[in-house]
Amino acid sequence: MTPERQLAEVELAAASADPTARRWRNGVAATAVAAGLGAVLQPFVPRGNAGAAAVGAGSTLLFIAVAAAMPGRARRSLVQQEGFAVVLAAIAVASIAGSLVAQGQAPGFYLGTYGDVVGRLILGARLDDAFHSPWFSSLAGIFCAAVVLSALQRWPPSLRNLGFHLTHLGLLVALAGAALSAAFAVRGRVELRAGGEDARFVHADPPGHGQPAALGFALRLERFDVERYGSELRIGCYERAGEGWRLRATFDPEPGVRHRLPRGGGFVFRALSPGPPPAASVVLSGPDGSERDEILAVGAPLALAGDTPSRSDPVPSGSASPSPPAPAGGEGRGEGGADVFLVLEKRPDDVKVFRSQVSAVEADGTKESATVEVNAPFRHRGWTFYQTSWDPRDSRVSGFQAVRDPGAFWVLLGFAVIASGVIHVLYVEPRLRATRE
Amino acid sequence: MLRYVLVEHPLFAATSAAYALAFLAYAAAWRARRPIVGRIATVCMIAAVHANALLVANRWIEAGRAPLKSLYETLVVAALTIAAAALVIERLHRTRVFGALAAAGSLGSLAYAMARWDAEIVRLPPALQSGWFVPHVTVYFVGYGATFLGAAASALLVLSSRSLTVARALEVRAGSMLTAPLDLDRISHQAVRFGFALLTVGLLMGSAWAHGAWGDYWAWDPKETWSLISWLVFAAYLHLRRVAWWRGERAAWIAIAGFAAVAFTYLGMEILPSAEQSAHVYTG
Repeated sequence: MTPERQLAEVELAAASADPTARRWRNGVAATAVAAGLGAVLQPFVPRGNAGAAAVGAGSTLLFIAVAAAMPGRARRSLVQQEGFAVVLAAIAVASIAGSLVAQGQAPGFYLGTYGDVVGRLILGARLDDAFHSPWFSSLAGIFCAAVVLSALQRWPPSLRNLGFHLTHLGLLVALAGAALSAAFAVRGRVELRAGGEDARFVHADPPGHGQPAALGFALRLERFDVERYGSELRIGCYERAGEGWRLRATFDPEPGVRHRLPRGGGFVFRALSPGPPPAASVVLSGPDGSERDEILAVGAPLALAGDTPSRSDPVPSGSASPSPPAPAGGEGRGEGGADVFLVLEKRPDDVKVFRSQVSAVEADGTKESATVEVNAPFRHRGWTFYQTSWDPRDSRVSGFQAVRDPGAFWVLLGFAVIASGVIHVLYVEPRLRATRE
Repeated sequence: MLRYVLVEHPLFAATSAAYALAFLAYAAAWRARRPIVGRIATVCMIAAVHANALLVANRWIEAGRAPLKSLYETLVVAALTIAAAALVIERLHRTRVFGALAAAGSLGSLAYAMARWDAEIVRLPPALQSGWFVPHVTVYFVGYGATFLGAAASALLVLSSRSLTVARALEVRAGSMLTAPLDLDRISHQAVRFGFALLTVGLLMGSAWAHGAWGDYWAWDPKETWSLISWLVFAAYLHLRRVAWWRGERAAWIAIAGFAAVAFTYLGMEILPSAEQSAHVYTG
């Protein structure tokens, strides 16, 4: 027998002696049953959040019941580290699968993008909405069951295992909150025009199935403001990128400062003439040290042919927007086949704040007013209104996401409990152990 | 581009040079017989971390906001967290073994930042003007730095059992401060444990922020999904470490897989089909 063969046999014997092998097998079997159960139920479960929540809750209860009926050793397989690791790995793999396919598109998208056979497979397996599919929900269900069973096995809580119990309690509270959200949350959109337009209904997503959901009061938009950042001038250096142009670097017009360009050469900004149109006097320098005076005017890009700056004959872009410069002659290149342009332009006047002044008006005429901004929603009688959109063509129209979600509080509470539990497990308990020892 | 960076952004160039020097010094310390080489490496790394912190602070002042918006900015922060985490481990475990890996990681992060250079400092859109922005991103990047070092320790553990050269390099004491054999498994576990706690807190902060901004605490955005995947892998690692058979090399492979998931979460989102709908994918 060769040494390699001997080594292989020793390894094989060691593997077969692995005391955890049975727990692995049981963990894999239970996880496969969970995924299979979801797949079997799939044709009978309607698409959407409510179906997902029902399958998740049902499979949690089923696995707890089955585990309770099983003998101790088999029951423990799921709650011991190996079985739980298999469940975590299965959810990770399912999540990877869901992230590799575009979610929530129309059936035609999958048939057109992936072809007829693969497209149908994706739709049949509900990979187009993987995270609300019965097989994914069933995996979440076995995860919940494992959390419950492992917590029961280590009951009662003590200071020594408080972190474990907090983490598992937090997971359960968060998942129960998520199930509540999935089953009962109402989300919808409201678009209002400033000046007093109001809404008494929102067009809700499922479970309202797109039907209007009554607010129970009128939401009125009094005023809508879009605040922008200032739009100061800059010197932009553009480079050719494929068929288009890419902004490579920008420079503030500071007099006397020598700047280097990414492709070599440089310039010194001299002075700014307010115009109109505004123009900058610059001294361009090439890699060989040659220098020449140039004027950069807004809308009149300067082509840098090769490494030597030269005046192109650009077509003025006619705007102070930050769009790439219009190339000379309309043929995509400046004089000398330039791939680099310098241009004096205004920075984009990006939106800084969307601000909606809204009022919730009750039937008896009482009114609660508030300002809604992104990250600063308005809450009234169980509904929360989030500033989510606006209409660039009509600056008086403001869009809100209206949400009534009985599960959100529990999810966030569960998250806080998970975080405190994890920190307790990883940092407090080792210190407690060390102190005792 | 290099000359442009040297002239226009000398602090960036100086930080990169300091990391390069730290890398060379740490690499030399692996073979050196005199302890002074290791000390020089530590000094270089401390200088690099200070320069990196200054680079971040300078950008913060210049932008008028935390420099955590674009890929370039976060790569500069990632370089800082990797190096800082290595210095912490160096101090706690009395070893300079990770210095070269961390310096290479930080230098690589800055090199990639140069490839993804910001043409200009972008302003914060309304969604990012939140009290959660700085703590959420900072906690994540410190967590990324810790998991990088956990994976680096795991990689050394795996390599040392396969390569005599690596095993010998780990035994060299002169350049290090070691007073006892290097326990890579323990170092990896500690780094991953710290990283996992931060990934947990970061994930939860992100959910709370999303809830405050859009009313959705979880939307299965690809970055959210992959943050969860990373968390699940490290959760499996921590569970399995309680089983005697799942320490050492087996656990090391999971830590490496966990960091691969973290790296993909950070840099790989652009290739996913759902990236266009994501609020997280860097556009810079």
